[in-house]
Amino acid sequence: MIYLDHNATSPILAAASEAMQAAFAVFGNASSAYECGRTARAALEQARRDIAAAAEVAPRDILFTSGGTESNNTALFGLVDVVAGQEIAVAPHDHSSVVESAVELGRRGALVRWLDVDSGGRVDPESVRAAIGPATVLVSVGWANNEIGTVQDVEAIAAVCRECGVVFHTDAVQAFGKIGTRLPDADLLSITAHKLGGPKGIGALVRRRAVALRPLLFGGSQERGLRPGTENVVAACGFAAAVVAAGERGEWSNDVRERLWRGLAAIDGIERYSSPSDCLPNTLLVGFRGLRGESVVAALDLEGIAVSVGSACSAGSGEPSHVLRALGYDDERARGAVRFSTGRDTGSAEIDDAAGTVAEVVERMRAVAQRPATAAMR
Amino acid sequence: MSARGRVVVGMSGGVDSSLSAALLLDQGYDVVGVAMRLWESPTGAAGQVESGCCSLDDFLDARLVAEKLGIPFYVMDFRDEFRAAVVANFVDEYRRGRTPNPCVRCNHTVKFASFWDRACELGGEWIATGHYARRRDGASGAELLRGVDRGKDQSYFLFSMGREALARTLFPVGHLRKEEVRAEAARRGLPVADKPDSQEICFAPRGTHAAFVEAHASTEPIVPGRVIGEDGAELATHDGVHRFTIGQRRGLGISSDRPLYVTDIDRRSGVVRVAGKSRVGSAGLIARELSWLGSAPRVGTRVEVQIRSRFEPQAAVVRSISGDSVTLESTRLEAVAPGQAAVLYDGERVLGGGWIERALAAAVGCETVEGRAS
Repeated sequence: MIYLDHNATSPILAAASEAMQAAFAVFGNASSAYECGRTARAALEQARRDIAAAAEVAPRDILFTSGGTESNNTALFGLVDVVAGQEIAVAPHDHSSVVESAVELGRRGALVRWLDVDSGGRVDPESVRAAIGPATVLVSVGWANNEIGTVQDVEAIAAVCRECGVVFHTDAVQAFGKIGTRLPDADLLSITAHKLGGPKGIGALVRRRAVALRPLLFGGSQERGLRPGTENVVAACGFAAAVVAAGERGEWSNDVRERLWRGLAAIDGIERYSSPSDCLPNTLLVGFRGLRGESVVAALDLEGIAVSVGSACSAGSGEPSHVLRALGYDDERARGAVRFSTGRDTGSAEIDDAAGTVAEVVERMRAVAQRPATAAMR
Repeated sequence: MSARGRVVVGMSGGVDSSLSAALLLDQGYDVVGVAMRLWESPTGAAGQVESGCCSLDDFLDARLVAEKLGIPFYVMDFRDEFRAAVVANFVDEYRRGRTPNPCVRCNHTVKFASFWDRACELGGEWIATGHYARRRDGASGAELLRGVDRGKDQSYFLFSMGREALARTLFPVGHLRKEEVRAEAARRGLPVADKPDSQEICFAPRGTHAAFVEAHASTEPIVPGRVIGEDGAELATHDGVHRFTIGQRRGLGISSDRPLYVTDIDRRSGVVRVAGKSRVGSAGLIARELSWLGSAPRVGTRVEVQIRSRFEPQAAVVRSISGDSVTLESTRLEAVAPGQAAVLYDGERVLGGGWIERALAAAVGCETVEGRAS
């Protein structure tokens, strides 16, 4: 199998796996008073410090959660007080755990403003300023988009929010580790372990300046009372090891992504949505005119190539990508998108193989769409 | 790659399609499972409904079977085609005072058209479904035969699948009886062996057709009308012609000393005519939108015609035929309902058929019809 769906998840790194194996020996409850509890607590806090150091934030800013979805939900539901008629401004093409949280807040009485986004997926910081009103309490714009890969100028958006006195949240799940591990200066950031080689089921909400939040869950004082529940020390150790490894590997070049594009560009009717600049180094979203993304994904799977139609969180639903729709594309295009996302170790040979197979599969699929029997039966 | 080629099986999560996939695997095909997402209840919240047709449970069952068999499995979206070609037709036909057959429409436009296309896109050389019907290679091409289990036979629903699709379609359970399918599925440990049979119409359960039509009707308002007896007297009023079907006896809102049946529905005037049993007969029918699996029958050919899915086929003669219309003569057709399919058989073999346009008026008081009533 050639795995080109690293934005869905990435294989676990050896360093993360080893760290977790070691942590399995530490069975104590990190909140217990006795020695094995303290040992667990020490491992958890070391993990927190390691992640904080790589992210260039304070350890106390890291609140462990179950992953990106919980972090995004905690940021939005934890901050917004719907009873008070508060307003939020959200990028409409962000991950569904942000967008659907905003929709639900709207249902409960908050006012949701959907930020303008251009056809490349960029949000202009000045349009953010224009969207902020007196009742606005939160702006949420993802650092990098999970489907199209567009990287926002989040520092500029953060500056606008600071000037306006509004909390700024960014979903950093896809960008963290792919464009460095240093986090931009947002008030709230969501990160997760499994996109960069850590285990599934752990992530963090990074909270700067002690922004006041209400918890989603109740029943304990863990994670400063914002995320009660027995701490997942094993996963935290794996998370930290993966973050450290990502930090050590440094910048990620665009070469593999561009090599893939050069291999695909000659396919008749292909359309590139992801920009060559201001884009995640591993993400290439394309469309094949007249073909459905879900069929391309299935046909490629049968040839041993793993890619996806946009987000794995909406795969199999047949729904057109809400990302491309927010960018102004029609339903047919939004249903036709196929996302290739490479990994740190994806090699040139794999890329060339994959591109060749995609070209063959697309040609076969086009022949089906054009045969006379098909037209006659309709 | 297997010697017999790749077959894409439509897997609904039911026992018939599940066993179909298992049997094809035994026969040496390279089997790929695809679940067709056709419809979702608009009353369901953001996500899918949890049970019922095309639900999470059905897809989970299909997935479990695929996993047990070790075959690739995909859920694919056909909701646009289904809504446009099947559900819209269902609503429109009832509103026109006709009686639609969504299962035939679905086979025609979704399963043996769109699904066939998608199967080809996956490199499929064959498609397969769990229908109770058989395909046989005859002297002049593939032939469609009734399923061996006459109680479950679904060949009626397949008459318009088209020759090209038939040549490339496998019906792996058509030679089995339902009990045999269940027993074989159980023997193989398929997790759906005891799953109840699906509803006849997947998107509108029995008894809810009228409400479904009302909920999905377009802008044109639904108008009430009158129910009129044989002597022209008004017997009742009604809430729309979509609530009636030719031959219907129950739910007419009339008390009478003898059973009354719907004999005519006029959409324009809103008049629904009812009469005694002797008036439900006909002298035959005219069908349009013809589709033949071999060559079209000639004038004078003796055939058997089936005018509903659960109806004994009756002898008929082709009186005239053109490219778009066939007239069949038969004194044995009761309650001929426009909108249903008229499927022609030569014994076990499906010749093809068309969509019923109207009945031919019977000679009044036809004794043979009265005599067969039971």
